[in-house]
Amino acid sequence: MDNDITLALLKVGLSIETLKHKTAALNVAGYGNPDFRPQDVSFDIVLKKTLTNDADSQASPVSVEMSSNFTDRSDTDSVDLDTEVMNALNAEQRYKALLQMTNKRIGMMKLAIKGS
Amino acid sequence: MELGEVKAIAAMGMELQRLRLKVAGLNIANAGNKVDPSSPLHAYSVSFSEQLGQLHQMSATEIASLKGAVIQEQAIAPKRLYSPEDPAADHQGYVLKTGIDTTKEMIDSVEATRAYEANLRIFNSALSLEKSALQIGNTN
Repeated sequence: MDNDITLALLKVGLSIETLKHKTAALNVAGYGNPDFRPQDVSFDIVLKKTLTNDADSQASPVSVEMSSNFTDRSDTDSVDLDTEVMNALNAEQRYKALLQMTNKRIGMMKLAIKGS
Repeated sequence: MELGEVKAIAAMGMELQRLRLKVAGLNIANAGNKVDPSSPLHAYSVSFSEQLGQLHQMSATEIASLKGAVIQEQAIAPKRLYSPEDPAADHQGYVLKTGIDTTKEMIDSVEATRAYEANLRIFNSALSLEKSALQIGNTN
């Protein structure tokens, strides 16, 4: 699986949408709490090219790594409920789109294994 | 397992808003009550736990076992109303009533209801994501 860059990228995409969903959940849960600072999430995505001497290797030479961290949002200190719910629903929709693409990719693999 | 955490966070949010609603209800129930000067009636407020700021680093089980907020009693200055015909009036004709602002409590309760609904939306959305994720590989 790890040598399939498409699936690896889809996995990163799914993680990003889950984290965005989590950020919205954190902000909605903090609503009404005077000490709460709205959160933001940032990502670091690194595409790594693996150099290999093995010319016959079928492994994908590119791999992807992701790290994320939560920070206090700097532009505002109050939570906007409807915006956060909208962000969560947006993330949900994109997550489902990525899932469909994952399923298509798996379907293609199945097709390659089984034939028609 | 981020989606489990999202569900725990939303559940925590719902608990907090339920407490706020309860506090608003308690305060409205006490509003307008006469106060004995020797033991002034308190208003209630929600005191949020400091750990709520660390929710993003916690696992679902840690969030579930966290006590997010407690109801706190808070002394507030009573209102002095002139009402000489009241049997509880003092020799100057004043009665002491709780200084609770009913309008503020009503606004709080509406706000808490809306925020509860928003948390519920997030919870349902996380459930729906989990449901979809279970279908991975189900390509027929």
